[in-house]
Amino acid sequence: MSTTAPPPPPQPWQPLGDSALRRPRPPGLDVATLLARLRDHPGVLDAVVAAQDVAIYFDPQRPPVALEALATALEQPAGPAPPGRRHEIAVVYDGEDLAAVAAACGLSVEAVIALHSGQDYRVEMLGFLPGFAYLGALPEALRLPRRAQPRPRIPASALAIGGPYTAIYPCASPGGWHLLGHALQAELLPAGGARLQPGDRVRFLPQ
Amino acid sequence: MSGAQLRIDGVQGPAWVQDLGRPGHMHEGVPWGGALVPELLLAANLALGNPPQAAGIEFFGSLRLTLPPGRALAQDGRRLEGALDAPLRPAAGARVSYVAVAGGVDCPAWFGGRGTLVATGLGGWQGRPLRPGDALPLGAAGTLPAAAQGRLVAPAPDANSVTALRVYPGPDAAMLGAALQAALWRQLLATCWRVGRASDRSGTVLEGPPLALPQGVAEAAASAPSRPMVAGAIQLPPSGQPIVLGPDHPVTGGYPLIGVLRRQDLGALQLRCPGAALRLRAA
Repeated sequence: MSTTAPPPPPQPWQPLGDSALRRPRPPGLDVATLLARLRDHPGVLDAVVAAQDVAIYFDPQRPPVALEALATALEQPAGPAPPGRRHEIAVVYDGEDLAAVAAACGLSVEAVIALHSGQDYRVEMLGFLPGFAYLGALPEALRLPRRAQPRPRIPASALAIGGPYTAIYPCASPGGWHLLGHALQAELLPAGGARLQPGDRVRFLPQ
Repeated sequence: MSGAQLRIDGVQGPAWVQDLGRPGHMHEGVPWGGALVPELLLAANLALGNPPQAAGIEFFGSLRLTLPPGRALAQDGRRLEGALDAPLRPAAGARVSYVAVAGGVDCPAWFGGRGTLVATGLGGWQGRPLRPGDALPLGAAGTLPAAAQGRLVAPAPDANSVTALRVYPGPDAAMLGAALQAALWRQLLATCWRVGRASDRSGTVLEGPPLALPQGVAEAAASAPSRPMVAGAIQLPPSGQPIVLGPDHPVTGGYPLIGVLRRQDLGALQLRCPGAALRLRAA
């Protein structure tokens, strides 16, 4: 068993210990394409695409080689973006924070609902919780900082907004986002994989 | 599924189904998970001729079980023979222990793994800790040659060892500034830490003199977008008490990282009881 330190990775990768590497997110690639290129590289077991960074994960005993080839792959322009699937999700706007959000945004409750349900969102990335899809871009008029005091428990299926995103909580969790309502029959975590995948589009249908 | 069932007769402290984890779904927000001390679960499986990925029980207090006829059981790599009269407990000084049964616990796989993601109530046996009366389905009994008792593919960590755990520098010099990062690194290595009581499968708290961030840096970190995380990453939250991320860590997070534990040393950290002392040294 080797005890020598791994060799430093080529720029711009930075080690996250001996089982992951992080680098700035390459510009110009949609999330689905970026994930596919990262995960296709030999030795990569997993990948995460965040707002400004990407990371790859591997077995410390078998780190990925030829990272130059991966860098080249990440520089290739994307083909036509895969269309992704479009999901229509029925929601009820009955959230605890709906009135407060309307007040903070200087809008009526009806205007908040019309704005929030009046456009398609794209799955920008998944994270925070299993199957938690960051949906963007939230209309500018609805963007608020997180609540000062996070709630200790937000129920599964809650529909919430935070910063430039909106999301449905796939399972119960603590959270600091503003609750607008809840989704009906939105099973986001079937055993085979998350229902909402990067690049998919989502439309909320008020009931 | 073989029809055989493992019955839980008594349990004190948390106990739940775990395996060696479910890599490949972090991009869906699902952490790798897996046993806190994978070496011990692996050893238990190998002692029975189970495949390495077979699911067993991770437990922290005591456990009483009834085995179906003809099924062997191993705890932390030791095959137990005869009747299970006394409750099973972790080894002296250890926080956690593992039980494997020939054939493995055959609860439904979720995202490619049978382990319990406790914080979200997903995976494992009904997504929850085990309770008396639970009857866990078992797979067909082991088909691999059973390894000699106590023989391991990697040395099992020792909860009572004073050996320092190895840590790599963190990646956040740009956020912290080189001078602050160097100062935090020196403090991280110079401090005698204790395992905090608030530790769980998401992270192990390191208790000691707080590592303070200057106000401006803390505020910048609080509004920075979340970044990809990894098990073993040492986060510095505003409390100044570092947290070493465990197998069920959120896949992204915003606190600055002041180091990353060597993967091979993570089990040795997670085996230690709350209050146990530990030191870190540069890998």
